[in-house]
Amino acid sequence: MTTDPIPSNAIGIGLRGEHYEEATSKPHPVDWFEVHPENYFGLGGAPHAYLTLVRQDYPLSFHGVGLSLGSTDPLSESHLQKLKKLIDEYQPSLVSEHLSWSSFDGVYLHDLLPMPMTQESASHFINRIKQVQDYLGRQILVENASTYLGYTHSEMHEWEFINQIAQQSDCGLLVDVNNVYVNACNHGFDAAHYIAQVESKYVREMHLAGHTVKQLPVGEIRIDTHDQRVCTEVWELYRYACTLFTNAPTLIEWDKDLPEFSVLLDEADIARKFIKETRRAAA
Amino acid sequence: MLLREIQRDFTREVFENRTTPLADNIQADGIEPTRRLKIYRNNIRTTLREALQDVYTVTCALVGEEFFKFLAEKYRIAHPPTSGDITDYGGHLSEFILSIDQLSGLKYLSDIAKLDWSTHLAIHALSKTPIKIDELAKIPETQQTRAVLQMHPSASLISSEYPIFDIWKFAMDPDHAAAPANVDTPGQHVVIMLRENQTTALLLSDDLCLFVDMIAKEKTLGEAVTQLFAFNSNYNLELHLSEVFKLGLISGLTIRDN
Repeated sequence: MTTDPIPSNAIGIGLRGEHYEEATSKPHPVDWFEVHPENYFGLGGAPHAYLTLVRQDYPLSFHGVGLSLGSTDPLSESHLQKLKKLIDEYQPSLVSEHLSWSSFDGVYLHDLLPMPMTQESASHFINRIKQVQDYLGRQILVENASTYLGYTHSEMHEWEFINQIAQQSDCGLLVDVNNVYVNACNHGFDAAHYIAQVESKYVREMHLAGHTVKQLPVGEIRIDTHDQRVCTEVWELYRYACTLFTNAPTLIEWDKDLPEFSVLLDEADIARKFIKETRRAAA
Repeated sequence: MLLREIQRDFTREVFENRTTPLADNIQADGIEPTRRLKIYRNNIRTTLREALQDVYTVTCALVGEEFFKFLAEKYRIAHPPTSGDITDYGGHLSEFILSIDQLSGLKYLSDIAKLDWSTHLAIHALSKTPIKIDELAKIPETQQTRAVLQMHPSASLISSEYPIFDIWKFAMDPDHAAAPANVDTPGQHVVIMLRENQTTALLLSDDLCLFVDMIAKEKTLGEAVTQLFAFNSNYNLELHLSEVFKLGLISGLTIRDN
């Protein structure tokens, strides 16, 4: 078992239970796997049996969805304990969470909810990320979330917000390229400008996924559904991101309406071609 | 608005369906703030309903998807999630079902929901290899009455007044090839457990159920024998002791101090 860094040109796949058999039945042209640690908070059974098999052959990353980093409730001690135990057991190369909140007054809403881009929010995240990193004894990455609303009292652009958080908490950034594109469409900014403004030295991972365009009577909104292939516009944005985020391996995510595992391998192959192309051009 | 106030009002809007001043703090940008909040409200409801449906597959098959949606929504309000791990969500559904008037005709449903939840727990339970009866024989005879058999961590016993094993089998079979269960037949006792990483439902006889219940309650063999013979002076202890090991229900044993 190695905890060496995942190479920057590596392409990984988000592993879900439906693909356990396929993923472990034979070697695949995939460099690493990412899982939601919460799915392994139980003590045993098939999830751990398969994760152990995967870990024997591939580097791993943990991408949390339940820590509720942005919540104004205290951090959950039991959640952190379970996460730390799992990290000690599987030694993932990367551990990440989301720049969002999902709980209030002890009730968990199980969605990645939007934060106002204010100094109060940034300071809150910085404080909480430091607490988590101290507890886990390692750096974490934080991901920009997709949002379907913005607050009137936001004080800064999202890229300024995430740069400040990374700079002042010593965390890394996980830039979800699809989320940047979704937010650019939903909130009317230039996605390429966002990518250009993110300080690349903090970026340690990129995510790619599919999203859905929802038609409303008064217009359209893009929803981060993770239920289809990466769209052309996001691939183009990814091509540009690859030229800037040269220390960041890439992950293909798919969470709903899961296709055959081969479709995810195919998406990974497309990402690999973009990486090769941009890195060759830069050499 | 302070962050805490935003999160309070957001929760009230999307989880409790209450109107708050939050909309005044949301940018419209061509789409009304209430419409934007509705996206989150729907996402949360869908996520929680699907999480419940993934766990309660047999319960859902018995009441139908449409009714299950209604049930899931009622349950969400009565028992909101209290953990960031969504696999913890739904543990009170079997008791909650008893409070739903429309389900009063399906008296067995609460016990079926217990089977669903036990299956869910078994999937994530600690993996342990069952031990053989030889392990018991290794204990000096003088200590055997103080032996406590440890039930496999994935195993749960559900004892019902209704034929839940037959109903379970019928509902799990998509083609309904098995004969429909007659709910007026005697009750059944079922153990749900993990065998080679697959969840299994085992049907127990009345006598075996009594013994497994003693094991689940962590009685010593001496205590169990006293109670079993008080219930049935002809109780076949040898047979049922052998059976619990054969089924893989025992994963360890300890000797309790006097």
